[in-house]
Amino acid sequence: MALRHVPRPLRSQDIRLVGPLARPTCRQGHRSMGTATATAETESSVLPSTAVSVGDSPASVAFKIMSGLILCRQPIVTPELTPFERAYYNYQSELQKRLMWTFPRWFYYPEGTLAERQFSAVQPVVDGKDRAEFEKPDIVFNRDRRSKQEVVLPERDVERETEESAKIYAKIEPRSRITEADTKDDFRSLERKLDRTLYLLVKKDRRENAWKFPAAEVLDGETLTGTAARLLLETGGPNMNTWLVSNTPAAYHRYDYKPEDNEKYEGAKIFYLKSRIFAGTFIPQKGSGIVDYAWLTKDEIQHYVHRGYWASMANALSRQ
Amino acid sequence: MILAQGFLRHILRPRTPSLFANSSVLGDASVLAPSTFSQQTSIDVKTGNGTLMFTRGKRSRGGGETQQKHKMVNMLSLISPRQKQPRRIKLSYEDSLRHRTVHRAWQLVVRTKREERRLELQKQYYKIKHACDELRKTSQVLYESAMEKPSPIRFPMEYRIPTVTPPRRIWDATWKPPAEEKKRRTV
Repeated sequence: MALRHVPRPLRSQDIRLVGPLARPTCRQGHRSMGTATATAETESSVLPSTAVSVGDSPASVAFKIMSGLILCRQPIVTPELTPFERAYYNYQSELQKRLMWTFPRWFYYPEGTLAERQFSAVQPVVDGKDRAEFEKPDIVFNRDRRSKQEVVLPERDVERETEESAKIYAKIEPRSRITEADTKDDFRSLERKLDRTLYLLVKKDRRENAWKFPAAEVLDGETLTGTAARLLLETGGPNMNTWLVSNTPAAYHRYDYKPEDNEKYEGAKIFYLKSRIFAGTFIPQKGSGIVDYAWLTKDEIQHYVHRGYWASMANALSRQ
Repeated sequence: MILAQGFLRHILRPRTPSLFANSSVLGDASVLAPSTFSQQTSIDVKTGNGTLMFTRGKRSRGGGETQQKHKMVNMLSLISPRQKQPRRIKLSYEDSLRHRTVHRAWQLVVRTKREERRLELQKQYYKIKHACDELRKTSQVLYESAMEKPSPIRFPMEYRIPTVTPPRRIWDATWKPPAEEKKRRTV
């Protein structure tokens, strides 16, 4: 990505206060508002500056611009079914079984073959006497037309089995949706809560408001995306396969510094970019100031983070 | 394809392969594997004088054409609902009430889910819009670089759709970036 030239900071002669009627007209079809001039920007009460220059700019409010990262691991398994959903799907499959056509055994087990003999031996007896009804049983091709058919597949013929057929009969054992990390409550593991989205939260060495999404200051000549890439390497190391969803920020948080804490800036403005991790591990790097980290779901984050921050970030996150 | 109903019924009745021709369908193959469809197995062997056919099982009348026809009809019978379709479900009044209640409850659940998803997306969208507005106020340069969109948007190869059960190897924790700079994706 080409690094853009940072424009010089606004000086007092650049600023022309304009009245409320002189708003730039927003014409339909103009997708980008990139032609907004310095005059338009003065409409807001705060005078922004892209670069910090303590000497040139007037005694205006300066905010530290930071780029943050909402790094998430997408769900690996489908959402958990509610009891009603489970019951409904069961109801639908029973209906389908009732309406299913009779199994064409003459096609799969032709008459006279050994397989057919084995198949027939295993099938349940269908005489229609299990249903207490006035109608006489309506049985066609060994199937009572008034109910669902039960087809029992014969057991493996171990004598006539080959290596290939053994592979076909090998039972598929599905893995459990609840992993070891779930039982141990390992918050640093990415194998926890497979049906939910996990977000990375880092802890800085601070007394209060320690848990946050990672963020770093946007340096001169950098873009938000560039800062995010640098941030990822500096905080978590290179061993992460990530993908930035978009260059557009997904969330914005602003906080003000106490006047005694910082003389240069009045506060910070953080623009969070959303990114996804597909493989690898987050390893806190030395010199990043990170004491601890955790991969948490949206509802868990609420308990880790202070209220103002949660209010800013909550709507950007996904519940599932 | 409009055929007389009676004729269709006649030809689509499921066949048992009791009348199969002596000759193999494949013709001049030197050795035939035993067929699962036919009752008899026939092995054709080419000799100097002609072909010898060794057969095992029932002898059958008719030529190869009838055998093929039977096979086709057998397959077609699977497509027709004749003698395979079960009875229509006739619900009593109470049963139909139950069915309708279940259906309406399901529609309600689906609607609620759809609405929740719509609201969540709406909130996310307005968050993005707010962030972009603030960015534009803050820095024009950063804003313009943030508005750059790849056309068309490209998704990574590792993008995975959730499955019902997890894969054998749930997470690759030992992933290392590839050595080649070209294949590397930094963000």
